[in-house]
Amino acid sequence: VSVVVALAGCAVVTAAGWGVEMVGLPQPTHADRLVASAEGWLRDYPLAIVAFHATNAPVVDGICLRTSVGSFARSRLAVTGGPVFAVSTGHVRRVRGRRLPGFPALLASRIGCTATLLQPVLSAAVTRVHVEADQLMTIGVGEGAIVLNLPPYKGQRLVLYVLPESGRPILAAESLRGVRLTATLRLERPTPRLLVRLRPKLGLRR
Amino acid sequence: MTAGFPAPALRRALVLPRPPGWLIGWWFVGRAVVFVSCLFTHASLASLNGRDAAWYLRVAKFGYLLIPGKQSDPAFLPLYPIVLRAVHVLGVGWGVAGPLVSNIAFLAGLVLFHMLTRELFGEALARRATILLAIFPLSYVFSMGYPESLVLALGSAALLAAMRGRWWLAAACAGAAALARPEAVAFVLPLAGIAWQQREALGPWSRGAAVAAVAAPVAALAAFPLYLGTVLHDPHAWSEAQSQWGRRVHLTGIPDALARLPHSVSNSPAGFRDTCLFFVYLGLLLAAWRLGTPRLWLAAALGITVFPLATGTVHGIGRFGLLAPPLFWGLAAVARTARRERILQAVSLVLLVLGTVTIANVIP
Repeated sequence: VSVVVALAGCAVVTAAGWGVEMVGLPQPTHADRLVASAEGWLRDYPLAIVAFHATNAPVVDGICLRTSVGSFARSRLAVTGGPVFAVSTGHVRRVRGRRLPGFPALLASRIGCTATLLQPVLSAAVTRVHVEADQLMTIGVGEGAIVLNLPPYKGQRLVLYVLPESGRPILAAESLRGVRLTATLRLERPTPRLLVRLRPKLGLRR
Repeated sequence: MTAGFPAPALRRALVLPRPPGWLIGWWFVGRAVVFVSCLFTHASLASLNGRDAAWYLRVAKFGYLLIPGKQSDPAFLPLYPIVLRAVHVLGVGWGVAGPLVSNIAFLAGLVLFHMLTRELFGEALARRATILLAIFPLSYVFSMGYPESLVLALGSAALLAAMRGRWWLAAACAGAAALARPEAVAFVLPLAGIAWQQREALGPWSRGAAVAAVAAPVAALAAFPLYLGTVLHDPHAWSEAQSQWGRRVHLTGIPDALARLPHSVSNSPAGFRDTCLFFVYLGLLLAAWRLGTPRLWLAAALGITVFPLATGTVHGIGRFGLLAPPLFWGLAAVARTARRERILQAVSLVLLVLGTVTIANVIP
């Protein structure tokens, strides 16, 4: 009798604990989960192959590689036409190539590099204030994405499109001084062989 | 007519006796020191909701979300946020809920700690220990949006209920305590000691209840990974989040932490404080042992004091030790003369002011 009572008592305590937690706490919203997943993708994938679409301007292709991690992460962004930019939090500096007339370099560095995208996404994931997820948007034949309207982060108002199941970011958009720029993202983990090819292109030493 | 209310035995079990005037007085003195120091330094009580309190509030507002590879909220146990949420539903603002719950729970905790100590060591020592706990230098934590005061109340209630043979109440309180702080698992040892003492007098049903109460902290804690598995689809979310806070237990953690003590002392004020308190706690445990504290109670207190070192750091030990009653029995034993008691009270109050004014800069 004692053993049965003890086992039943333990089961009741565990079940009661689980029940109290289920009833007493809210569950994370779908938007919260997607933001956390997107943060994971951006952290795990240092390379972004990007197509920038600005209003009334031709598409500009680019690649952005994160070269260091942490709060002061740095990246290199190279775009078609030659210029290479050194990107750090809030700063972008042309290190090579000619200026590309009309190309919003600051905006491109904010939404085209995983390191810079990571900051507002991480902030939204941790604080979880006012993250809004719009319904599924069709972005291609048979493809859909959830639109995440992230809360303002240091004056930045980022809109991130992520895949509904995995939370993988596929598109980022932001407006600055009347210019709206959209970046179609393909996140990659560079292989050592790819890195050897990319480094000269990004103005980095081998 | 008492229809609709639990039976008299249960009602007696749930209702606290009226606290003595001196206890309310010392609780008030300690809290007044904390509030005035806080207002004087920071011009607001916002610092009582800082540090971990902000994370508990976030869980209460939004629930859990694991951010792999980053510090996230599944590192924090759920009972305190559940209580905050319940209080908020009653109309209390989020900013007030934490300190309100903590301070009221601390008063209940002091009453229960006093009753528990009186049963073991008599009124004189119980009174000294309770006063010293009310104004202990780190007792500002009991006014912050932290779960320590709730665990003190629930843990003392569990042990007291067990000593009085109310094993189901002991199981409920011990389980609840473990859902607020993992240190409550150490209560398994004194609960087991009490159950062993009472084994002859217990019938089969009560014996089963006693075993359930002994296992309740572990059983309740098991509910948390189950919950995280249900909600986040990751039962390991707690340990994953803990590791991001530097709280992963290593086999070599204790020697590592001891080897790093000189570095901890010189590196940060919190490290200095916690290293000092670690040695003070060891001394108080010795005093509690000489006082005649049962061995299993001492083992639990030693576990609460020493086990956190297994994570490789001394940080937080000062705060964790607040949940080990034998430390305060040891302190009361040290303060056995009126002169020593007055000196300890004065030193405690001065250090309580110092601790409170540095909340914003020194991690509790």
